[in-house]
Amino acid sequence: MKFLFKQSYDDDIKLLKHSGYIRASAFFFLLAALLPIYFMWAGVDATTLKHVIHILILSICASGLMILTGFTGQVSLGHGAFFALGAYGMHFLLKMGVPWHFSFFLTPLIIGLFGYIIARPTLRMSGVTLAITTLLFMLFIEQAFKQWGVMGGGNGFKTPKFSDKESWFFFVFQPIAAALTDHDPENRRDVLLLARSASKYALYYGALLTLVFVIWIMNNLVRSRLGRTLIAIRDSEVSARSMGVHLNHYKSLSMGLSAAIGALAGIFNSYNDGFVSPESVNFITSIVLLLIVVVGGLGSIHGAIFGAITYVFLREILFPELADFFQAWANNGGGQVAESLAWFFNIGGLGDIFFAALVLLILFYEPLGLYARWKKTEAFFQTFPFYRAGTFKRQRSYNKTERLK
Amino acid sequence: MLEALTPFLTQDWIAVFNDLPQIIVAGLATGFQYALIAFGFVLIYRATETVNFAQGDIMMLAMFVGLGLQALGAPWYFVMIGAIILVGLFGAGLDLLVFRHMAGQSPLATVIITIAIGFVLRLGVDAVTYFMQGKFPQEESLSPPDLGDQISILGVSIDPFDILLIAGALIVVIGLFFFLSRTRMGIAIQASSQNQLAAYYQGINVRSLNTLVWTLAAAISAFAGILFAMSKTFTSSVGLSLTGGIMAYAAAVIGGLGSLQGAVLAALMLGVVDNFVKTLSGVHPLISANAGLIFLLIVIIVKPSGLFSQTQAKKV
Repeated sequence: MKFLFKQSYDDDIKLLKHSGYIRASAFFFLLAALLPIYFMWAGVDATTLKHVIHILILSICASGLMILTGFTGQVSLGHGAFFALGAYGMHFLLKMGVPWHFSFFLTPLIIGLFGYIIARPTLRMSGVTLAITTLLFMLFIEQAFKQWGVMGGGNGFKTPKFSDKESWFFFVFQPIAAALTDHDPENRRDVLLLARSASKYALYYGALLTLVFVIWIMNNLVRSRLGRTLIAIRDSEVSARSMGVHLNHYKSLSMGLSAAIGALAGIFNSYNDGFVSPESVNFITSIVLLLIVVVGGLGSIHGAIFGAITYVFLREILFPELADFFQAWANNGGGQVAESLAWFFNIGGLGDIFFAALVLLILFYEPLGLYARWKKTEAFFQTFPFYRAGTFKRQRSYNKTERLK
Repeated sequence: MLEALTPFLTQDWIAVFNDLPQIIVAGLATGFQYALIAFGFVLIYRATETVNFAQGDIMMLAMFVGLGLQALGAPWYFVMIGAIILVGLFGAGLDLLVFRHMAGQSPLATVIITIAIGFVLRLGVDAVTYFMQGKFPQEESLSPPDLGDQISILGVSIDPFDILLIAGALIVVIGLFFFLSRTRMGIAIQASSQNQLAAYYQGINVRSLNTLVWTLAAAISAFAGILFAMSKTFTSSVGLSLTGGIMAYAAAVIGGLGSLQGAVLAALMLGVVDNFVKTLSGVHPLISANAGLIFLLIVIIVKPSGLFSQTQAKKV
């Protein structure tokens, strides 16, 4: 355990409190930054990289939702709508001839404003109206996208490559990739392959930098007046109101913020998937996003990332792997058992069911999610051998109604 | 924007008004289905302070239980009663296993648990159907009771099933209102909804009352689900679709969450408005499919406390 000798008032509110924080952040950032280089060197297939990018994207979006659900205590059941709006808005602006970098910043701004405008009148009504309105709004958006002929209507559209051969990234990437892999710079096919994977790696770094940016924003948000206001609203609306907090404004503000961050994630997701269609706006996305936030731990910045990793691991890596494993076993004469197990793990959506069941268990036994586990493990080692489970005992209380209006 | 409004001007209003009684009856039939689900939703909210987003999915579960019973060869009344009993027991189990233990946790966690349960139910029904039949559920429907042809009352031709539906729903709703306002147990539920701790001090067994409320709410939505399944087709996502669960949630909000009468009346209005807009010709599909959203937005702008709200701001 580290004992800090505080020498100035800044020590209390610094972003990185001591050298341990700096070391840990640098370690994780370097790990993430070097991962693609390892992938290239080890020749890992493109699907794995896609899953890793998916983790980054979901982390960004879940961080946005964390502001709304974790800090402000509002539930949005239609966050998939902002996710898709980001993708549609970005590519619509590009189609209108707006430069890439400009529309990349303009889209989240517009969608964020949009989120604020939707939430503001909605919040004049009672508690859960926001959840229901966002739900209705999401269905509306899905139908509207189906009617939007310019963007391909019901079929959606294909997205161009994230980064092209003229970009600065390609010039940095090409020599590294050529050194690590056995590409022949004279071979036209190899150069094309390199260009394609360069686009994927550029997407990875783009998403990573955005995630770091979002985490930085979140950390500063929690330390600021705005963040404290939001947390006050979550803990008790009545008390926050008595302190002079304008409930509707701040709730809408957090909705706008999380919509903007969701749109940002949606932009990256459109490039990662390679296509965008109205079907991508569905309940499953929205509810999964909410569950990711819960699994990670409501009201924690780590939580969004823990949750995203758990989801992608369960849904896209573990279950298909298990299905493949049992299939291989069945092919090698595993008999009836292996056959039915392989069939079982091939049922679509099984990963989603297990994820939702995991959420139920976590809410039951560890309401603050994986982040609480993380904190407990940390405390166990810090206070070893004097750790007591009672330290983290939760207080229960009878429900008292907090119906405002 | 203006193009969207032209169908309202060029409409053959006289023909529409001639059909009005029929539209209203059909709308009421839909509205009563929404009303039943919304009733369960508001009942749980009032009594246990839990916002139950699994209500629509519980209804969906009842539909598939009905489908299973029908596949076993049960007649329609047995399908209905069986689904109501089974799903009612499921509601009780839900409270005993999950929500009883969530007492005292943050309301947000409880809301998310209901969402997760709804999610598990929906995907679970998909997976079970896949397990039984080797394919995911498509557009399914229950065969309605054979009640004969359209009958005409005062010049309005009505589907006899709609009469059965409206009458059944009316009986259930009135019975529940009577139960809640006149019987000892109903008044105990109201007391515990206002203040659980005070009710507990008065000797009311709040825990078992909550189980009763969950059972009732699940059974009501099962009833609504079976009626729905007999009149329309459904998929496993009906619990959160614009023709199913969502309209009930919207009705609960429009009625001022926490008011049972409000929820029922708002659901009826939603049903009629929805049906009315759908019968108009040439209306943009975005408008006709989202009548609920538009109605909700209008209510938010005109009367943000909900149409029939009675609750006041809490005093500290």
